[in-house]
Amino acid sequence: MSGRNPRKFLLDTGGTLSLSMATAEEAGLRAVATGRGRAGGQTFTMYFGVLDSFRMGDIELRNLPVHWHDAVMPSALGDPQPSGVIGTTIFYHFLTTMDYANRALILRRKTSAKLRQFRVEAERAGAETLPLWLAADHFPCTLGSLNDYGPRVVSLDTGGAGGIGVVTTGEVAGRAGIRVDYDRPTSFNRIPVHPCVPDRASLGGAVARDIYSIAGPLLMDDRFRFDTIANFTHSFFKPYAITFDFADMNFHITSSPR
Amino acid sequence: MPLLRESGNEAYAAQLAAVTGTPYEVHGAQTTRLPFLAMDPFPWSRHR
Repeated sequence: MSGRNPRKFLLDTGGTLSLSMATAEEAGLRAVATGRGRAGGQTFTMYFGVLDSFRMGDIELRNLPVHWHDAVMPSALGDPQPSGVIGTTIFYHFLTTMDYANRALILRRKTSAKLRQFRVEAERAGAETLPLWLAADHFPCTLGSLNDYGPRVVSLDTGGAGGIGVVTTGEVAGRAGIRVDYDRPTSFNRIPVHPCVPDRASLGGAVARDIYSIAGPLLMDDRFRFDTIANFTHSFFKPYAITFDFADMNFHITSSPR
Repeated sequence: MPLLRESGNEAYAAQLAAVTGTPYEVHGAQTTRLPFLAMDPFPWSRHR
């Protein structure tokens, strides 16, 4: 940020661009407004400001809105807190690939040439192309299925920590024929949920079998104002590379790493 | 911004009003690649 040394950020398509308090202070940011936020089962004060420069590898964004807060973010055991979160409000300025299989984030400019080049590469890699919609400002959505239920609209908030692949509700699980283990209540972001393991969870031809999932009141349907059957998240994507084409609103998923 | 204000999102409107120059102006390379440094951050919990 603004010419400082690179820092560790989380990648989360359910997020925007946010910073820790310490990082914002160090960058000399000034709050022009405040508000209340909720994430990860916490409520906190959000400070809103403007960042002059944000560099990711060889690409730099200038003049961008940013917020910061004192909420706790996920970090590896023993690691300090990350400096912040890079989310969809950054990603939708690029042709964005989260290549989980090869452990890399690839940002391409949204030019016609780059889009054409990507489409050729995606086709060669056998990528599945699905529709892409944005809900509630920054949540990507596409079509997915649980067992034979679907394809229906699902959200793609990648930031589900804790080893889960899919988040659904008890009601949808019933419709999809997924057994929910009501004898083993657990919690996610301090919300009571129950484990479940769909036989199949799929985005087009990308299918996860027997993936650890949870059922509970976590979907964003009230905020989206439409129904979703699930959120597909972190563990589901690990064998794949996923690309968000925010120019033509397509979502690509491939298991053939490029 | 008027729409944001009308919808009661005053903080966001004030933030966008404070942006100078071209918002989200892109500079530098055509493509960049950043490594994932970790795949499984610990869940949202920390003793404080």
